[in-house]
Amino acid sequence: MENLGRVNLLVGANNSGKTSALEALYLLTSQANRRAFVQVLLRRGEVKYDRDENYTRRFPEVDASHLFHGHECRPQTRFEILAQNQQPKKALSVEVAEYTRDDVSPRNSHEDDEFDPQLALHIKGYPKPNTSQIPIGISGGFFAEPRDSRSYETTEIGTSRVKYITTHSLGPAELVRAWNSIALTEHEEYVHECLRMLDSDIVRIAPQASIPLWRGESNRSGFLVRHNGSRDPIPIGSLGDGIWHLLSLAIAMSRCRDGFLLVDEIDTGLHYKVLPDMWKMIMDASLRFNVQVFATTHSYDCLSALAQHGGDPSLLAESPDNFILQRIESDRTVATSYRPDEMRMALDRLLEMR
Amino acid sequence: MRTHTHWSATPGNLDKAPVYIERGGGVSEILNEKSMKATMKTNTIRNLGLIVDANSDIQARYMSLRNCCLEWFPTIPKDLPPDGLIVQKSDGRRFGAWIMPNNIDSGALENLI
Repeated sequence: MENLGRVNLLVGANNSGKTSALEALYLLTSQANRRAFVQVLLRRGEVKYDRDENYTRRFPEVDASHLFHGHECRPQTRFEILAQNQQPKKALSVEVAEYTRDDVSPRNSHEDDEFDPQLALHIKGYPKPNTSQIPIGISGGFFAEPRDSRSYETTEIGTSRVKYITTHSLGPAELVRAWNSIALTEHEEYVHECLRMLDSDIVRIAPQASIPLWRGESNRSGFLVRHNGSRDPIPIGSLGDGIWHLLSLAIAMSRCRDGFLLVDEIDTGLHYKVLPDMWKMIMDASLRFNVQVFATTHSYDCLSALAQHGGDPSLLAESPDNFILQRIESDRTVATSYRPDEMRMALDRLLEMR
Repeated sequence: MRTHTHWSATPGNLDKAPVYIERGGGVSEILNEKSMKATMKTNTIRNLGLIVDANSDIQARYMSLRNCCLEWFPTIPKDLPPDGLIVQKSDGRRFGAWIMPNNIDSGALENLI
């Protein structure tokens, strides 16, 4: 992708690589955080299944081969992600090579013997990656959680702030955790303002601290809403997916100061009439918190709303590249980018940009 | 047109045309860099044809058309072929132009009719 803007909307046909672009950005901007690798592979369902019925893994393994072109994980297989114009520059390379055993690591459990890593993902880059080596077991997978943090997980220093919101939005546990860090701050009121874009009767929300959170990304629990239309607080899940999605976006934006927000299908659950306000919120927040946004969509309404309402005209005059459309095509190595004025012209002339 | 296609060009059946026809408005709206960029970035457009009036100076009109499109079709010749212009890019996309009335004289559509 070239000509990046503060807000970048990625479009393209199904299976053209939009989500892969987000995932590459996630690995790069998280400085190869191990959780980023795991989240990317788990979202794709790349979990190792046991072919031997007599053996059940105690710990889930994710399949490393699907990170690579051709789905092959053998020595010297590698990929690189570069942000060439970024200052300071960002680069990440991941290569399959022999596992470098750390003598300090305890290695005495039955599970470790079965795992028996011979290869590992060796990770290099700039700034220094959070993870330098992820061992791969004999079955070609690695554990979703590190077995021994001393052996291959370095301390997270200088990690850039990045949030990746998948099509399921953020889960309740993550949102409640994030809420704890913004409660009673100016960010809390900002989140309320965002939610009122969708429902002006929302007075405020509060996390349900004493109720155990259900596991699972599609779950919508964890918050109660004080609503003008109801005497008692109501669960946020009863207000629909759009509210949950806006809550995810607003909280994530406020938690990514000076960092990156990555959103797959940003219009999920939102009526087209709300999209101009959603973009206004995203544009304002990206300036307010200095967050660079990358989002995908299939929706014409969504890109039309960005082109027409994505920014204050006076602001755009000063900085015309505040938002950019990037069309990703599987048969082209470079994405086609549209500046705001080109987007508007294409819309006026009914030219297809997706 | 009817000698080349079975389509009869009347205002009521533009949508039945064998190609997509966009009314470009004034020539300055068609022959400008921004407009061409938006057109050429559209991946559903494989072949593009432009029809414009020469008006008072056909050479000047052709030069402005050529300058506007050269970025995408670098093989556009310096002189407009009298039979009309057709060039093709290496990726297969084609570009054609006809300058009314006949690619030779100054004038407009009305002069052809």
